[in-house]
Amino acid sequence: MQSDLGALQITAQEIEDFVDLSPSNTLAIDAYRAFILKRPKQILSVLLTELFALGLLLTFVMPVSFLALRNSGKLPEDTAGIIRIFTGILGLSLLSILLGNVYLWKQCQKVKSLARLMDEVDKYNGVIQAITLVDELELVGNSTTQLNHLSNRQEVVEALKVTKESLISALRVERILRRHNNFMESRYELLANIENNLNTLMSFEVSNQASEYGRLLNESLQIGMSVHKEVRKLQNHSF
Amino acid sequence: MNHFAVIMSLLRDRPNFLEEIYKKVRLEKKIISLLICSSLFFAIYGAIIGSSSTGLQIVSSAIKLPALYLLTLIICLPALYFFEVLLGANRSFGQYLALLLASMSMISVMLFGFAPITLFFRLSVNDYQFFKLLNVGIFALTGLIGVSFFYRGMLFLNNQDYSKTKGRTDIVQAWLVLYGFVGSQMGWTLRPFFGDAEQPFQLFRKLESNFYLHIWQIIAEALGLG
Repeated sequence: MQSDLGALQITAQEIEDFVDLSPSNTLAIDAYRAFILKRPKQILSVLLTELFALGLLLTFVMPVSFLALRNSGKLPEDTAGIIRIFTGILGLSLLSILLGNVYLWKQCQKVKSLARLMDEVDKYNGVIQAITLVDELELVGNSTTQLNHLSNRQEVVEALKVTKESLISALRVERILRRHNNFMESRYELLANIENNLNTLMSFEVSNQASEYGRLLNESLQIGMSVHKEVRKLQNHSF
Repeated sequence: MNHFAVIMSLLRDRPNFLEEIYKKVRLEKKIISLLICSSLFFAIYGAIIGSSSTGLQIVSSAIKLPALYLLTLIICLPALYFFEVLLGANRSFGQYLALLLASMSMISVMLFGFAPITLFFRLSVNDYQFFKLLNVGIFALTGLIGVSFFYRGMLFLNNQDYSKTKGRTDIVQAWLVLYGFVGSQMGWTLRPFFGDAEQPFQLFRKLESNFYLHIWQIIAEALGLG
């Protein structure tokens, strides 16, 4: 990866420094991204976490309950009885996990905007990977077209720098507002604005840089041409 | 959340990990990741040692082995914390918990490393007593390494303050002896872990004698003295 792109990437370490998340928040964010935004990687992560939580609960609860039953003399001698009790405790543990999920759902509502921001950060990093790929393709490609692409690439890198700054400031703002929950009303407006601007910026970036640099030029040309067409139409109609 | 990354960073750079515990860097995440990883590795090793008997024994040992270590930790940790506070330590409960879980994770990773060896002996040797003795040796070795890591970690944490460290070192040593006793008694209470292939599945054996007498009996039998 070229050095300017390397500096542009937002690493996991930087995210942790900017955002300062507790584990329950991290789980809520993953759950939101998994089930609302439908990201497969997060779905796997959340399901595994639930499985681990069930395992830990069983590890703590099972031996202690069985030992307590034995000490009070009520432990059944036959294997079938033991399996019945085991299934009973398993059922209770599953119920507790379900209740935990209800709590998680409530947490999800609170971290909506942060979850979407993290999604945008992933998309942003994905764009950088795409540009790296295009760079490597260019290296084996036709050298005559390279000069044109170089200037386009520079614009792209500039746009990405601006995007990174707005992403980071959004993350910082989100963290500050999360700490001062009193500002509920203005928070949603402020964040909605930042989100809208970001979405616009990101949709612009992703659709153009994911293919080749020339697309940028083509797009602006097309826009220019259609504007020209419209103006001609208006001129013709006004006669 | 990548839990295995935490345990890998512990194994690769232990002084840095201890430093992070001292500075309370992302303690909650460390505690949760270490808890999950160590329980998983213990459960896998438990399933292997239970496989010398019935299928129920596999499930039983897979739950009992993590429980053994975790319950011993929960029982002994408050004593450690309150004695340390009494002697003037500045550490939070979370730091002790993180350090203990780190030691337990080291033990669990090493047990996981021994798992293929145990599996090999289980498949090739049909002697229940020998298998038990082998595992006692493995548990003793891994326990020693984990406990020495914990001891060095506690010394490191205590040396960061400049006051009254001798009393606290004694407390840590006494606590380690206590931990050993509670742990072995917990293991004795929760038995069987291995499950005799000739006998039917038993969830718990009768409460009789104690752990050390039993080990002496096994060694005596293996040497042909019993």
